Amino acid sequence: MTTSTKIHHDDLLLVRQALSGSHAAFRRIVETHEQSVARTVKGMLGSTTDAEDVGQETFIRFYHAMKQYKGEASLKTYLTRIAINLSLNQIKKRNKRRWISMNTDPVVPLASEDVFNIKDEKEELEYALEQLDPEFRSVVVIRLIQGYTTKETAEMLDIPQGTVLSRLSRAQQKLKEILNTKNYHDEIHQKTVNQIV
Amino acid sequence: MKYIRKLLIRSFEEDLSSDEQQRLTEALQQNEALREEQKQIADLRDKLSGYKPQFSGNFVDSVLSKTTQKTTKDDFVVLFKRIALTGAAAIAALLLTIYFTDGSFDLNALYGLSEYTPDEELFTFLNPTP
Repeated sequence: MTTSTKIHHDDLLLVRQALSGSHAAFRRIVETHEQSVARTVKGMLGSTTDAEDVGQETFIRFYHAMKQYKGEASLKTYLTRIAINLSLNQIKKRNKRRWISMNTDPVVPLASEDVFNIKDEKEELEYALEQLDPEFRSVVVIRLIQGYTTKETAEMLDIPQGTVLSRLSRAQQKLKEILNTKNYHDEIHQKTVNQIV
Repeated sequence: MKYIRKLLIRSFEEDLSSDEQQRLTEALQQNEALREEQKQIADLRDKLSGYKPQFSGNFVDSVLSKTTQKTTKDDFVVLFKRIALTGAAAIAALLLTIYFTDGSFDLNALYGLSEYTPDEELFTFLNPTP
């Protein structure tokens, strides 16, 4: 039995136990897949409170739809799909909120000003990912962060493989530019700090 | 150059044909900027695959408490439905009994007055003794 087959088998067993009312089994499912869901949700939404909420909602949705899970796809894939869809919905909600606040509050901070508040590599990546359009971000999250193949990414997002490749290419190009600009800003910032000191 | 860039991106995603691979290798040998780009893409992909954020410490407990809350709510909904169904079944049984006893659903039958003659009904109406 290969490792992935064993994981799949274990997951199916846990789902069966959870369906028969075992809270311990469901806890085990959450513990096992927490990290994977965090990578998806935080990759899509950044380290924000709503990312935490979407992460919880992913498992709650799964809990209520567990009967429908027949094990055709791995549990990780199933949860990633839920997490991606919920994250995309959350981004739509955010955009609506942003649009409303733009109409009521004329002073909106520019995204580039946030560059100086970035503390570590994780935040740097999240900042860069946030600059991508959601459809590009989802491809990067599934293919490069979660490590699914191009074919699996295409199936999960219901788009052709060619689209995955082209989005990936453009997203990587943009991410490189953003991260290079960020490094440039860091150097300028450091020089300014040194001059003041 | 655009074609070579496409090959470079594809080389990270799939195996190139031997001809494509050769062209890319040659281009990389000749072009320093392209080598730099290859390095940047590889670095970026390494960074992304190493991205491992965490949820807060009480994440699992929060999820479990929310599923329990929802289950309690669901239990109430199920209980309410059961009570409503039992009530509806009792009313239906009562109506059927009245129909089979009196042969109609008119008001007198529902009030149980159809068992009296018109005189008795008038008498009962004028002398409402307990």
